[in-house]
Amino acid sequence: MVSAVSGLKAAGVRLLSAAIIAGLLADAAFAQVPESLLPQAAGKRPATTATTPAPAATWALPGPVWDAWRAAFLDKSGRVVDTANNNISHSEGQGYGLLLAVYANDWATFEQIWTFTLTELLIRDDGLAAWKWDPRHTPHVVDINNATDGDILIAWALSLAADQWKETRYRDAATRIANAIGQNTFRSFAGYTLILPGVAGFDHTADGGPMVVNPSYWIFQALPVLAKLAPDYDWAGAEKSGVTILTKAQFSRYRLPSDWLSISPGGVIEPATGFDPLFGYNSLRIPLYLLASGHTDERLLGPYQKAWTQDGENAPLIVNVQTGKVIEKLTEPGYQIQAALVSCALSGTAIPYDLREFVPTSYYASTLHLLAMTVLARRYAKCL
Amino acid sequence: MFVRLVAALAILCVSPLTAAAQSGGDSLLPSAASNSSSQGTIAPTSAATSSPTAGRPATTTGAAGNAAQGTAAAGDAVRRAQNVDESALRYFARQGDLDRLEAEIRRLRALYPNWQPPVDLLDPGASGGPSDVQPVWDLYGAGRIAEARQALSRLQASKPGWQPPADLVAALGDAEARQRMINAAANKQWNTVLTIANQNASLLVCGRMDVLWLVADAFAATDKKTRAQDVYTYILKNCANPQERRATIERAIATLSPDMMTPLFALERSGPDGKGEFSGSRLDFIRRVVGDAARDGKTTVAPGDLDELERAAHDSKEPNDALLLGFYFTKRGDTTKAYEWFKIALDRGGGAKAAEGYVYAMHEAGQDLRAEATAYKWRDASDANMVAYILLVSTLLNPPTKTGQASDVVAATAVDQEIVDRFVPVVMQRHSPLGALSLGWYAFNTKQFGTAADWFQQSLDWQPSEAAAYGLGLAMHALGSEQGLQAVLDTWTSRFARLPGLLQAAFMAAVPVQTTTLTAGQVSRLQAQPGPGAPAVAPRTPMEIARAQALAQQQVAAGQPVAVAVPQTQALAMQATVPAAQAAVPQVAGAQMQAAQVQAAQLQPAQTIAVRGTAAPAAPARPPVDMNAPITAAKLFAISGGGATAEAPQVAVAGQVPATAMTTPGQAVAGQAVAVQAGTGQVAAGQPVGWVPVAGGGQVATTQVAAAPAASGGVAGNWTQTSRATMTGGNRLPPSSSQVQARQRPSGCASLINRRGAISAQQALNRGWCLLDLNRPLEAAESFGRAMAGAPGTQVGSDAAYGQSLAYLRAGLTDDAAVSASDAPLATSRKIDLSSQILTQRAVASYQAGRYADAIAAMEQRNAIIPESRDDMLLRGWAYYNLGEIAMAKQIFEAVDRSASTGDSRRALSAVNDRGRTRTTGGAN
Repeated sequence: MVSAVSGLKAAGVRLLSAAIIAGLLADAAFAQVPESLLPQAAGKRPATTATTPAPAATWALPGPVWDAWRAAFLDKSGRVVDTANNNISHSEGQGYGLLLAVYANDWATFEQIWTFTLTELLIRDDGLAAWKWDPRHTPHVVDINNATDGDILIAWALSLAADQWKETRYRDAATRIANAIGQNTFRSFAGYTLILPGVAGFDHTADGGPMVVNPSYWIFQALPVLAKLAPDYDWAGAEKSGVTILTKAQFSRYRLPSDWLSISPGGVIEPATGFDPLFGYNSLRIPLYLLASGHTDERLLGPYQKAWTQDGENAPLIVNVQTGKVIEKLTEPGYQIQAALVSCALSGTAIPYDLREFVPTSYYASTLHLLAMTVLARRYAKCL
Repeated sequence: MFVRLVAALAILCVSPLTAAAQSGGDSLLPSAASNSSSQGTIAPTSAATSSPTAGRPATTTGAAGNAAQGTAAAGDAVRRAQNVDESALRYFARQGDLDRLEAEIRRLRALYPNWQPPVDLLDPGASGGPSDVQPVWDLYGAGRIAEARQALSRLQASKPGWQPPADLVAALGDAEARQRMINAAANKQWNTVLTIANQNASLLVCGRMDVLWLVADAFAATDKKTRAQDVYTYILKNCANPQERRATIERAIATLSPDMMTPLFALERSGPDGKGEFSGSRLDFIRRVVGDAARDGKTTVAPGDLDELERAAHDSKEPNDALLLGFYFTKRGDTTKAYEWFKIALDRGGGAKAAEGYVYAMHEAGQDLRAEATAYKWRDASDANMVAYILLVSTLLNPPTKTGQASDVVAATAVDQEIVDRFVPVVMQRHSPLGALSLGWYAFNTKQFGTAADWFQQSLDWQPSEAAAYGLGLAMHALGSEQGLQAVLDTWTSRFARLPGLLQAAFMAAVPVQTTTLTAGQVSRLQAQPGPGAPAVAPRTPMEIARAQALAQQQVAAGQPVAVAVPQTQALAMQATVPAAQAAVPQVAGAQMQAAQVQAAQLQPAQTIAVRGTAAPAAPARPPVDMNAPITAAKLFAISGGGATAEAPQVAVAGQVPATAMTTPGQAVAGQAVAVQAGTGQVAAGQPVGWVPVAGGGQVATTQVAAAPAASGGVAGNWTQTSRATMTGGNRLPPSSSQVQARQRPSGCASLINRRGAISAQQALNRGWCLLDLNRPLEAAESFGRAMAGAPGTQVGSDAAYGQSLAYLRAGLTDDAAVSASDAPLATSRKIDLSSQILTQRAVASYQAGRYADAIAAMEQRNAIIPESRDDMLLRGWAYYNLGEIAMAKQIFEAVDRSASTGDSRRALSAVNDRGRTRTTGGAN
């Protein structure tokens, strides 16, 4: 299996183009296409493809694409490795891994990633996941604080997996985490329902200070799913607050948010002190999350399109939102496809062919690449 | 292995009762014995109905016992009929994992009461070879749980309708639960540990000792010590492994309070040799309790326990138990037993700690003289030993009196010339103000007034104190030097406002003393009935003075030359201060054990040891005539009836203690405060030996004494003559450094500093050192500058350049220091020392000013001269960090962390790593 995967990179382009097209067919033709034509049912990957049928008409990550991602970023122990960050792991990476395994309809890999996540990260007394795991340290958990986007991703993926593979274990775990998120990270403040980025260190209101939030931690598509698992908490309010914050937090001439925002008791939203005032790597995910959940409002998404395609190319920017200065122009395809996705959604622009192919680069860009491909295939087949 | 396995199987087959009883004993948590019934989803209906309580071995014994009579063939039949999954059984058998094999047999028996274990467990060919799930078991066996899960779900996905064996699922669940518990415990997530334990009672068995211990840890950490005790009790009642039992009792000792240990020790089993399995642990336990008792004085030790430890200590050849007992008895106030044990510890190589304990215990027992040799021998072992030595000899020179006892009785202690001779160089070398002060009083009491004056002056130079100023005043008066007395008043009255009053009272008191001889009885009465305004009348009988006449000369060989430029960070500074008490009673500083005791507690572990400080002259009785009127030396002379010279007022007696002080031992009252200021707090850092308690202290401020370069310069091998010294008794005292250093420090700092007009280069140099000692670096630098200008190219000039550099460093003027260092030719070692200090200061200054590149440049220059310290490396790393050179910073921090990982280095590393993360993904921190 391993050797087969390692051979994929070279042959990647041709295979993947075919795979994308197959996916496109599946999505575009929707109900009419027989299930047997879907890639995961095509019999190419007998070893890793579960026979439990995915719900009809759901696009799945093509096997070769998924295999390439696994080969690049998944350790045998079920650990998703952040290759650009000293090979550490974190709850966010585990959550993405679980989600992609669901998208690839790969139960075995889901089990593998889940086992690591459960045993190594889900050890906090409050039921949330420790966010940071470092292979070079003992104990491996080097920061017991949580990162709420990781918790949301894990709970969401578990809930999807429970439906997909009829596993009550997953639903139980998802329910526990969803409730823990509501209980420990939701804050009703200044008219908003906020999601704290972590349990420790972001709520300064006891000293009369602000709340610090990270708008890219609002994974809009997940919130209604978790609401069903933990109905005691105001998930709808959180979703609405997230959208409102993104409408308001538009700084500099680019009208973009900073990764970290502070919200004063009076509701004033500003770049958070103590953090670089950057529209940075965190915020790159915001359009993806909005579009995946059907938010297509031009007021929300326009600034991203404008900033990222200003030179006529798909190039997400890192911007200092206080000075308006461009810090970096991102070139990895996993980032570029985010710009292409926004243009597709707002202007119907077709996705460039080179971005339809997947060759793993860094963990983060590659993961965002697959997530964008999924959104495109499932919602914006017209651009493919 | 095979033989053992078969034997075990035989036992299990024949005697299921035993097995069941063993596993079913004392449940720790509900259904601790087994939870397999809830997971046994594959249990056939027949089994479930015939055994409604399947999963609880204890209830199945009857049925299983009957079945045990059956044949293997019957077992096979059952197996075939019920489709019993024996893969786990075979796996455990092949692994030789007896614990789990037994558990699995019990589980299967519970599920299938008629089932018998197969006899061919180790035969790979049996049952048609490895099953489909064998690879999963193999992964499980290798601890690769995620891969086992992956393989199992692959298998499941490939066989529609197939359910994995329940035992495999349970085994994987257990392994995951165990791993989570270990990880949660490593991160102190104790509630998680306990929650998992509650949900996985199958883990709470002897075969999972690590899990049981974690559960006990979690209970203990969440303030449920009795539950932790329950866990240990469960283990000691049910589990057989001798190593694990011993480890359990040791964990219990470390976790539980001593009283909770008694029932646990009661569960001790005896080995084949009849010896209790916990005898070694029990001794450790007693050591801990005795250590606690020696530390806090509250913990009580059971008499039997103490006997046991004393026996062990007697039988041992090691010093540690003896040392521990020494501290224990010190704390209990049994000084005799204390010094006996310390002596034993010392004889067995107990080292500095034992010596220190011995010295204090002997001191407390009034055996100072006997302890002097030991105190001297060990004085350089640590700062604490040095303090003990100085305090001890100070007491010897000026013993305290006891209330109501005429002081001369006590003060008559003969002190060997040798003791004094070797004390003096130590005092000089260590710049001990207390040592100088006690030498001053000793000289004074033996009528060596000139010498006394020098020592008081020396004590003042090192550390101004009211006691030394007072002594100097008395000495000047005794010498008949009105001018000298006036100088004392001029110099010190502004700092010690009570000084004139004290001296006045002393001189007034001196008059009647000379005319009236009070008997000890009278003194007692006076003390008992203090008149109005004279609350404490202290006896004023002069100490017995030897009748020997003064010698014309005094030549005392100095034991050793005083080192040049001794770094004074380690010097012990002792300061006598006088708290205000009754206005009418002059409280003379120094003296008493009650005050020094507080410091002693800081200096060595057991806190009750009293240390006698230096003795001070008795407080005379009369109220001052007029405390408000300005007092001049002339007036004082008038009061005392003129300058007494040979017939000096015999006021000074050893260690007169105001009654109040004696009645409230342990508190610094009425002028008894002798503040021992340990150089940089290093004294308190004495290394504890094993479980030897270390005083938590907190009572005494360990003042950071500014690092002062040794000002003494070189001292010639012999003490120079003193013309004023008179020998009236006691031992010949060498003069203090102010006379000794005729070349370098002609007449003490005080006069030199106040000198007006032109001075020589040598004098300017000395003056510089004096000023530097007084922490007046800018004036010192100026004085050194004059010396440099006055003697270019000479040793004096070079010394002065060095001094000026140090002065500028002290003042924080690094660039001036650099100029100064290049001004004069310096010896290489000095230059290195100086250059590196300058560069370090420059680096720190640059860093603080945010000029990180400059800081790095300075540090790199410095690193070319001397090896880089850990702190310096960290600073350099932070400089790179602040410059945004994260990779470089990281490299440095990693190197530091590799050499020794501490909070500092880990924080630094975490900072660079987080900075990396913020850039790429964005986490919560």
